[in-house]
Amino acid sequence: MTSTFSAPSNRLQQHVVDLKQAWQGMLARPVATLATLLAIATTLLVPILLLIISSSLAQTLDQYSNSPQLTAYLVESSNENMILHVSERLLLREDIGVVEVVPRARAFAEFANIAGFDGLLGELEINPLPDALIILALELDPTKLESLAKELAAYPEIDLVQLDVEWIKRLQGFTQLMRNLGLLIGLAALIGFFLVIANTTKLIVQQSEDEIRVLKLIGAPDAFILRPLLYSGLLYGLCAAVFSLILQSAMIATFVSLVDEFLVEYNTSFPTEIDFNLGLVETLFMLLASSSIGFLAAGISAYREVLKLEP
Amino acid sequence: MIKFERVFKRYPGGFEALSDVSFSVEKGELAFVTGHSGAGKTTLLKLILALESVSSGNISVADLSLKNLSRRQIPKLRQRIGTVFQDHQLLARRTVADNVALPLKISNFPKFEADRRVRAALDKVGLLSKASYFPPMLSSGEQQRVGIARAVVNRPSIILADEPTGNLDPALSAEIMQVFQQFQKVGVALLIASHDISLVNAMGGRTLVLENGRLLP
Repeated sequence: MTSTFSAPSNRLQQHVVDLKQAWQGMLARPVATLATLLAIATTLLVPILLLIISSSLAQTLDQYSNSPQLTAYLVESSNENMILHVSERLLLREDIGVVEVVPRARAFAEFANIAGFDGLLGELEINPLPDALIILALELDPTKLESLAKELAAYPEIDLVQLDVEWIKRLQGFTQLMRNLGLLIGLAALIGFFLVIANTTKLIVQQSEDEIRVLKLIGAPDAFILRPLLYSGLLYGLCAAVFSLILQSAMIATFVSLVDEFLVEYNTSFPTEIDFNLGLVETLFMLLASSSIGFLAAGISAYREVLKLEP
Repeated sequence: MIKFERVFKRYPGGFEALSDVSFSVEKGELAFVTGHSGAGKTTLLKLILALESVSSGNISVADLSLKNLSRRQIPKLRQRIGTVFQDHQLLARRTVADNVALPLKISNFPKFEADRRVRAALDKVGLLSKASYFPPMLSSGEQQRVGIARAVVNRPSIILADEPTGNLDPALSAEIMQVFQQFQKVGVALLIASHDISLVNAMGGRTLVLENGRLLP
């Protein structure tokens, strides 16, 4: 017989065994594990929802705000020649890209279709809507857009100019607020998440004190004792993220369906261009970040606790 | 393999558990440490396992000086030593086979090799049929044999045993001692703490007698 101090290396297999052991440890405490996972998942849910909603809205609003639009309503006495003349003049300007003519007849027809007032509007003897020009400006600066609107309003053929980007800017401010709030709550949630995992790991170590002492007695290095605990933290983080993603999807689906139900009353539906789903990269990032935080929290907590235990 | 050089162990409060102890146990040697309760037998074993540190003097184990042993080196030292504990120190929630396999897992042995060694070690102590049992299902004597199987499964160069036959009947004690002798024959150094003088005499190894922390000449 010889000493086997330098035994054959089989570390990868050992890591697989430790991962399995951590998983089995979680399954062995189903109620505690589920409670911990749900606690973390719901902690993560609020900031994730806020961030998803704000970033989806911001993305959608960006599409509008990046193509600033003005609507110029012509004077009541406008006619085809006048419309043509004004359009040509506008297109000569360097700060205007596109001019779309919306004749009063078309506006009337669209209005009747959208609002469902066709019966009521049909009773009107005259079309009260003016001819309009939808102008796509090449300028993004709000101040310059405002001065463009003023200049256009001074045209004798134009009665009123409406800058359509104003409400978008206000909504953008609101979504930015939502995003910042999401980040703040997210930071608090991450601290909570970290503490829950660290405390769970501490409890696991305390429940396994005798076992850890024996392992140290027969020569187990700290890494050997810590490995299953680290994997346990990693699995908690990963599973909590999965739970959170499932909850988030369910809540978003419910929200969209509720909004849809509400919008049916107005003969419209939830805008399809607003996408509340997390993309593949964001999903992977969330899973990775959550696992890493679980791993880190378990590592710090386990190292502190295991260090205290001596045979 | 084990060398004590003028070792003193004093505890806070002034109690001296070991005083000026010097001896060595060579490769393939069987040595017994005897003495009354409180004579310092357990302290001596604890010092070898680096469970406690010496107050002065030096201990070297398998060419490793324990004087300036770092925290990271302690597990490596313990892996070199197979230890049989008086109170077994088994993991109640793991099977007999899993308990015996622990030193191999710590040393990263491949599973098939570990399984083979576990079966051989359990066969040697007569417990192969109880490999899937949990320690609380076994008698104290059987638990002691599981502890012995765990101590030898890694084929250590040194075996320490603290009252290894304390819970066994005379026939089983003799069997276990035969197992130890087999290890001695292949070059393992054995240091056994026991107060069973008849057993010590029957085995015929070197005897170190401790009295009030001092080694009698």
